[in-house]
Amino acid sequence: MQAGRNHLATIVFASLILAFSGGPVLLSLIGSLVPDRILLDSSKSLFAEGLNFEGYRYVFTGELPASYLAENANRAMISDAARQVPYSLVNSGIIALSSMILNLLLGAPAAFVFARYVFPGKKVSFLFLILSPLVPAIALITPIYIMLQSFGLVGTRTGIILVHTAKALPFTVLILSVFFRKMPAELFEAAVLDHCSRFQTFVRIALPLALPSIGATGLFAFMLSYSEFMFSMILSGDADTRPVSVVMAALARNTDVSWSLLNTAIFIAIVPTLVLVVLVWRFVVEGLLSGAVKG
Amino acid sequence: MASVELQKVGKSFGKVEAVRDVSLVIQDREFVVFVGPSGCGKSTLLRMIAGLEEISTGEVLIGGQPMSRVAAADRGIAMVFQSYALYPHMTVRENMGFALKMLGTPKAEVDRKVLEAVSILQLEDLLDRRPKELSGGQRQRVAIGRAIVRAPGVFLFDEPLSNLDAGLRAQMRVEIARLHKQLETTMIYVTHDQVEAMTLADRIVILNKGRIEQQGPPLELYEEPANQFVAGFLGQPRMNFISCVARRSAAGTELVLPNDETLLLTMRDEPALPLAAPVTLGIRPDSIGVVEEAAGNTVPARIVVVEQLGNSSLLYARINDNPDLVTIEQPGKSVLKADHTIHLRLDPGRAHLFDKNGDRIRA
Repeated sequence: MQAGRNHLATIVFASLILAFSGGPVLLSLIGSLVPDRILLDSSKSLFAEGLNFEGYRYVFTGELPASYLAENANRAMISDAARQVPYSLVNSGIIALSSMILNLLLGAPAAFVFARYVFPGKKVSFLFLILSPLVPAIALITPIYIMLQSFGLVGTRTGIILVHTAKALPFTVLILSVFFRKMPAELFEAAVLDHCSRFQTFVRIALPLALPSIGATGLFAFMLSYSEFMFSMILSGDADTRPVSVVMAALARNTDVSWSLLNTAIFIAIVPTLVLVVLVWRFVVEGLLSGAVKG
Repeated sequence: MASVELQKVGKSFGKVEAVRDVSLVIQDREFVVFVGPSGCGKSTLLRMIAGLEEISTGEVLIGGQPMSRVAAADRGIAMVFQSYALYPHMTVRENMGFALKMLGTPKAEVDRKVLEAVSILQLEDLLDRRPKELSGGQRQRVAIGRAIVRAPGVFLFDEPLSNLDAGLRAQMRVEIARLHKQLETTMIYVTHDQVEAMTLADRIVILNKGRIEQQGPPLELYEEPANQFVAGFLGQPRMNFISCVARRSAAGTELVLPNDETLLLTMRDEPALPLAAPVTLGIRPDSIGVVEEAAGNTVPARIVVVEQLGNSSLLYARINDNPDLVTIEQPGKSVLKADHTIHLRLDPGRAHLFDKNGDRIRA
């Protein structure tokens, strides 16, 4: 009896979680495949006209949906911003990947040193590292803008990459140092006896063993950068540098927007992240589990 | 090949002194075992020889050379860790050849040396496996193989068998003894297991609270313990310690219980023994005989617990109301049961006497 009730509760909660996490994705997919005239007309059933790819066609080719070519159509509903979605994905990809790589290149060695070595000022510097995310980002916008301006980096992808790297770095160092600290000390002593320098110990022993956690942390940095809006908006210039979060905001700000088009853009913006997360997550979780089970 | 010499070596962690003023000479090709209870400083001492731990005072010499400015990797030592410390992402072959590879040894030579070590340890079939795919005993063999490949002057073992189950431990013990014969290298071995110490060592060094209590060949320490700590540490089951008082009589020196003057044993005159002062009688469980009938040289006792071990039995008995139980080891199966009254015959020839500081009183 008890077991049956538990089973039921599991199903209920699992369905709720699925509805909250998967529901919006599904809604945006449906919304993107149904033209506005049906979406906004409650008397018609959703798929009365079958699936419609006009939104996708407009986003990728610029060809206006047939209904908006009619004389009395409100063309303002078709926002130019939707046309920027594909290239903004490229921008976001470049920015997020660079920020992720920079995070790992800088964060992994720092985490290793924090985890394994004693040096003057270690406690204080680690404390600052942990506390730095507590500073409200909005307070930093002006100084960062002025600073990047003096380097001529406002309106470039490089500027955004640098800021995103700095934002994610404390988390990267914190998470990775926990992983490095969990590795048995004897392993590194063995490496010292085997003629490894500190750098060789890091590259040949610590890095290969931390690969799954490095994958997870990298993914985390990627997602932070991909979804970041405020700095992206202020530091990006024209459409050539605008990441997807900024373009999506421009699209959604328009109250008269075509719902079908908005949904199309949303879906296109979600899909690459979804694919990446599923692929990388699999690798990461498998790695974490194989490390967790003692042989 | 190398000798190891410790000159007044000390180590403190903050205010805690882990090792104090240890001086010791280990001859070339000698097998020395550091043994002691946990926290006695034996592992710290080993790690100081290895160079993994800085030395606070004193000097370590290996092969006659002072080591204070020599890096751990260049000391000509190899260490086998308790947790094996094999690199999980490398195969057995890579693990064993790693040190040579880091030194820039040509690949062909690394391979040759690895194969040599592998044949000594019979690991041929496991060369391309990773540590995860090996059993505990195999991992330990690989860890030893990794040490052999480096052809060190001194092998250091830090409790290498304590992660293995009892059967494997006995097997690996024999293996390590065989290796010592075959390799003819100095070996320093840390353990808290006195059986390993007794069976492997040319010389045992017993440590307690960071100091050497006694050192010498295993049987010498067993039969002639310098103090109560050594006597109690070596030997299983543990030696019995009974507080008593000595008095002189016509028959010789008598030892009696302090509260009710029960006569424990009579020995030939012991001039070094202080009369009327409290002393501790130490007697091993196999030096106590059990007889059915009381006699002049027996002590009555009541059995509290009987433990049957198959090939021997342990009786725990109480003499009068003495709070400490006396352990008696009998060969074979015992027919005696709890609450039986028995009579103990303590062998005066195998009794040890300790003064109130725990030092042995010598004849």
